[in-house]
Amino acid sequence: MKITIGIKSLAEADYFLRRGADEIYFGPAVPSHRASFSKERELIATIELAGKLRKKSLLALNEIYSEEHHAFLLDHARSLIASGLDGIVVRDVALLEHFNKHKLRTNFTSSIMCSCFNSHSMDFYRDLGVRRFTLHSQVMPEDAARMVARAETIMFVPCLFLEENIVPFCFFTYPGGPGASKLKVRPCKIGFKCGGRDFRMLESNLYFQAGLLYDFHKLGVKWLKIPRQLNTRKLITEFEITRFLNVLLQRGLDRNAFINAVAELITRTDLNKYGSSYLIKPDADLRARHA
Amino acid sequence: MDRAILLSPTLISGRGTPELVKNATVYLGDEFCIHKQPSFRDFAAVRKLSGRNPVLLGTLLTEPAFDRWALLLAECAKKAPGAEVVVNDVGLLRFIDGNYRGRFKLALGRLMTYFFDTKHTRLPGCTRPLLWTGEASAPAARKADLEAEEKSRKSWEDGLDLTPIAYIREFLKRYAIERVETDSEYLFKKYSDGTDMKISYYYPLRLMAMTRFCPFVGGIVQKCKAPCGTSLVRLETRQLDYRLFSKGNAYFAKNKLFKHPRLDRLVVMPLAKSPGFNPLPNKYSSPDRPRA
Repeated sequence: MKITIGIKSLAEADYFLRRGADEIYFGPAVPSHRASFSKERELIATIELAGKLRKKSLLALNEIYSEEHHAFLLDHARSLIASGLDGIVVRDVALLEHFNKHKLRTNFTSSIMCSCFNSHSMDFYRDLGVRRFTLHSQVMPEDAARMVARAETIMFVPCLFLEENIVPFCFFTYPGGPGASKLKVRPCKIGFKCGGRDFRMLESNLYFQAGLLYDFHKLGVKWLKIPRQLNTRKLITEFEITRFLNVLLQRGLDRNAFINAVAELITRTDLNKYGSSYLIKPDADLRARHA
Repeated sequence: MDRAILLSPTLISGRGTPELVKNATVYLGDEFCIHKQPSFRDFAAVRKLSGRNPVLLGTLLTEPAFDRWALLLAECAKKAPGAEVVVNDVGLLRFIDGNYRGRFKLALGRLMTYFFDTKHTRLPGCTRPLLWTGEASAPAARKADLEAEEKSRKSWEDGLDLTPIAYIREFLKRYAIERVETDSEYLFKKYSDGTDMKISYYYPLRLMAMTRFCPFVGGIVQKCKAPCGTSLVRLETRQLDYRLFSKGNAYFAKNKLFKHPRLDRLVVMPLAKSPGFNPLPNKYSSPDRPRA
């Protein structure tokens, strides 16, 4: 499978593209996402680097934008495409129609936020020009054969990213937000009491997650996706894990052996030691990037 | 004002159901769970029970659930044309438009209205990318630049997550939608000010999250007999400033009822307070820990 990774700087692009990433994606050069660029020239240098290394670059516009920003985003997208950008990750149907109306031609990829759970939802986005689809992390392999057969698909690596709740229909604020002033982590991670018993929102176990990865690989999903995050050390580790799992998949291990290997690897690595994906770790080690 | 009651197909033959559906419009199905989607048999049973066509209610549909919906729509188009359908999946909306345009009355469900206007969950200021740009955070770039950036960030952030109403009006017209539904007072106002749609409001709970990892059955299962029923479980924590509830595979907070001349239908969720249940953590039907 190929690997696409979310980045937030030219240095990260350089690091991951030279170590086996096939594609990078990033936020626009405006304040839109914490893990995004804010200077267009750095962004353009990143696109040029990807082109030079014969890799792909995508702009992620996976929010819903106000009408006042449509013209800006169109110009921005045009200028990046002129610099060699290969495509745009989309979610906002109004923005997509604005792009179509103004004949912006590029490769559109659906975001997980499009919440496509069936091939008919994919057709809805295909009508709007989307040709490549990110599978929702709560779509199961047994339900996805038709979806995978219909278009090129991308999946998040389940043992690195599998949300407990369905986006974009999870409305819990981040700790400190309205109604969550005493919250330290997201509600999907805290302990509740339920009629005297302990309760946690269900998450899946490693065996389940590894099985998903194996089954989607067999089904023909083409891309593994590593999400953008502020925590660069964690991002680097997730990239290395993804590369390793990809090698295991390509070696043709049987399902049980693969699942056991994944469970052992993830348990040993203990991603908790890097802290949350939302933590800012600007001192993350990218020094070996030219090695 | 019309009063509607949500009814899961698994509860049609329940003892209290005839009383529950008396003088109410029945919403047959479920907005969150693929295992509680209606069949034509359920439709006919409710019609017999209440004397009128129920409103069909769907969720985000997996491929097998979609296939069952396709069968349901084919039968309803023949035997109950004009029935009302609450759509919560863009694929289903496209499918009905392409195959049955004009044969059903369409409502945009609350997932769909949230699809256009996702609730803000980010914290104010969290979209600032200053720490990641050498130039913007450099000492020379300080005060004036920071103030300008702060202003631009705020304007940018305030505009996020809200689909322009002009686009939504066009979308509603394109798909011949007659009604919109929400549990948000903000969205109610957006649609009442910006469209001439009929508007339904959900009470007494507003959605906080939905998942396929259902606590009642211990995860994602391919078949389910819906043991959750109408059980509403209170989840207690000191970390949230509001009360959180679990019902089936969705989480809710209490909703406020309000008066408004455009409030056309109140959709009520029948609830049975439950002392709690024993969650089944990580017990999946497939795939699971391999056998040794």
